[in-house]
Amino acid sequence: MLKAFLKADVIISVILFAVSLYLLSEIKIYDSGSVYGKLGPAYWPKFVLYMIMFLSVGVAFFSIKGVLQGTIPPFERLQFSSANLRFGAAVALIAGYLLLLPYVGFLVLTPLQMIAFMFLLGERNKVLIFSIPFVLTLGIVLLFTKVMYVPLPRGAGVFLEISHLLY
Amino acid sequence: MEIWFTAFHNVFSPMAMLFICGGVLMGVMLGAIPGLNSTMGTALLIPFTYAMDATTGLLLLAAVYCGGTFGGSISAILFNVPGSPEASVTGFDGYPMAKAGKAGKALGIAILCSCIGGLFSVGIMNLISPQLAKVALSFSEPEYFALAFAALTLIASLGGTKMTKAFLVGFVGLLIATIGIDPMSGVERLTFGWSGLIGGVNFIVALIGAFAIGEILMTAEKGSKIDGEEEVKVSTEFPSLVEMLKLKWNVLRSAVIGTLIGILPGVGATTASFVGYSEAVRWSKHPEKFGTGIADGIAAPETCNNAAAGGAMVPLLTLGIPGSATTAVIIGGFMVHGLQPGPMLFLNQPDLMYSIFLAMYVSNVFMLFAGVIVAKLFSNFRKIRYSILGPCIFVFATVGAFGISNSMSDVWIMFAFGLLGYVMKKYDYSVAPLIIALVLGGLAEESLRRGMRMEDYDLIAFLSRPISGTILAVALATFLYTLYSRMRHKPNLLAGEMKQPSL
Repeated sequence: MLKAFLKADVIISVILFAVSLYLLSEIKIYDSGSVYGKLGPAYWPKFVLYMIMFLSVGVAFFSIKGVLQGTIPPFERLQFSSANLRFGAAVALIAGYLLLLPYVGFLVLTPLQMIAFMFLLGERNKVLIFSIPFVLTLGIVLLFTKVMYVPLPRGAGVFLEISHLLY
Repeated sequence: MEIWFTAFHNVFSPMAMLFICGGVLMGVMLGAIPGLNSTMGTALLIPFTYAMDATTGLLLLAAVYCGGTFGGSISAILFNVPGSPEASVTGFDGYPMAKAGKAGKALGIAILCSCIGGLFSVGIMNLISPQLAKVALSFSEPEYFALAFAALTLIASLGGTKMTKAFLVGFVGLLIATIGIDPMSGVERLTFGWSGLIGGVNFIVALIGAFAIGEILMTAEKGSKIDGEEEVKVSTEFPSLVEMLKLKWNVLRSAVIGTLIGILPGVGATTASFVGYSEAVRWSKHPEKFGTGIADGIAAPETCNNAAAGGAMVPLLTLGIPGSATTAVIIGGFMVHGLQPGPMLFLNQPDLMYSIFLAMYVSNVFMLFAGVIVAKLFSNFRKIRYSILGPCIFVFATVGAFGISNSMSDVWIMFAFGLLGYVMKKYDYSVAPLIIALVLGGLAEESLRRGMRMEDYDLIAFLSRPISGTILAVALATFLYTLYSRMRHKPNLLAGEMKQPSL
């Protein structure tokens, strides 16, 4: 029985139900009397949230029913593997890149991030690892800043000065 | 007839042909690169048209517009990263087809159907522009709501064997679409004080995140060196006559839908492609196959979005009202030459108008060649190992998301959607309903609320109006039929997660 309750669909449904319940309380603030007429700013989100709660219950119900009837494979215990580690590293790499981008700038940070990412994805050809990131970054910087006038992040301090050499 | 001769002379002069062909090629290239699009391209070209005569300048802008509308589908098919919003739906079936080793075929269908859609709409524009403009102006809020509702019912079919999960995802998409300033009351909704959310969640950012970043995270988890497709036939392969005949009703229906939606001011090619896809699913004998990589799933949105591009020129040329973002920019192109698009232009400068019609015919035909050239260039990237391609896609996705409003907030939103896309893929939730709801959520909500106010809060009035009533009735009937047939034949499929991967 416990296995059924731990099915991914059930966990997702419970999370969605709880979040919807919380958001309903947030949304109610927008219904401030009759200023906006009968269909105020809270009307549509409220309808959507009720539907999410209803459908969450439906998904959880069908999932539990499926596990109990044996038509859906039961829950398997989470096991730590190298796949989890690679996924975690990829997420950390992306998050770190986005966090540092405003401070280090696109020109300096992007090749470093690409090298790390290529290595993480299993690339071992050193020539490619140390050429493609620099060529691509330079190409993108020139295309987006010189031709399309997109102000890519330049960074701060010394990185800003480096970026100013190109754009 | 004399006007046509003048137009012929204008368009087929060597210089004009050079600009038209160059414009189409440039448009396709711009469309294919995520973060760049035909709107940006036409805006950047306007200053260059100063130096040209009005006719040549406007022909160039029209050519970029035609090419750019198609270009986005190349990257959508090859990498699941749509180069432009109009091509978002094309990736639903285009990418699975490319993954199955049929990238050339998928591109061939996209190019040919884009050309057909474009030619159809220009033909219609040429013949009955003023009449169509009047029909477009008769559309009001209930009709817009009916259109959005009809497209949203597509989720029932898109979910395949997991209708409940598909609708759950769809409603989450509708909720996300409510984030930001409510356009009717000005109230900030669900922003939690973060200024990055005030403008709402841009659907192209969400799309790049859910598809491209989600895919990269999935691949990172799999690990090891993933080889490129060394043996894949990368050259564009046009569908045979027999294959096209199988698609004929789908293409015709999509061309009509695209043209009509394109004419509606402010709706545009993106919505047209979603509605076209939903109607293709609705009328298909095998709706369950959509999303798995079938020709119909590429033909419908590609025909529709290019037809909409032509359609959007109708209100522009006949009324001076832009039908899309790019046509709004093209108005600027008219203005720098001292021209005001509208009914008077047909009377005062008929040769210019007919030159634009003719240039759009030529552009759509030349798109066949430009599409093949650019597709060939981009196809070669599929031969590259994912360990190299993945980081490159990530960088383009980041720049593409950033370039939409030059804001890091969009990049963070892209990342959040990447994680969401990863979770959804891992636990077998379809991403398509989320994107469809995100695109159409705003239109559905606003048109419902405005329409209700207009009709004195009487929902029945939506059904009693001839156009909205018909659209709603057909949408409702087909939705109920889909529901009924699923419950009758395979009741378990409402939940059906037979092959659901476990946690």
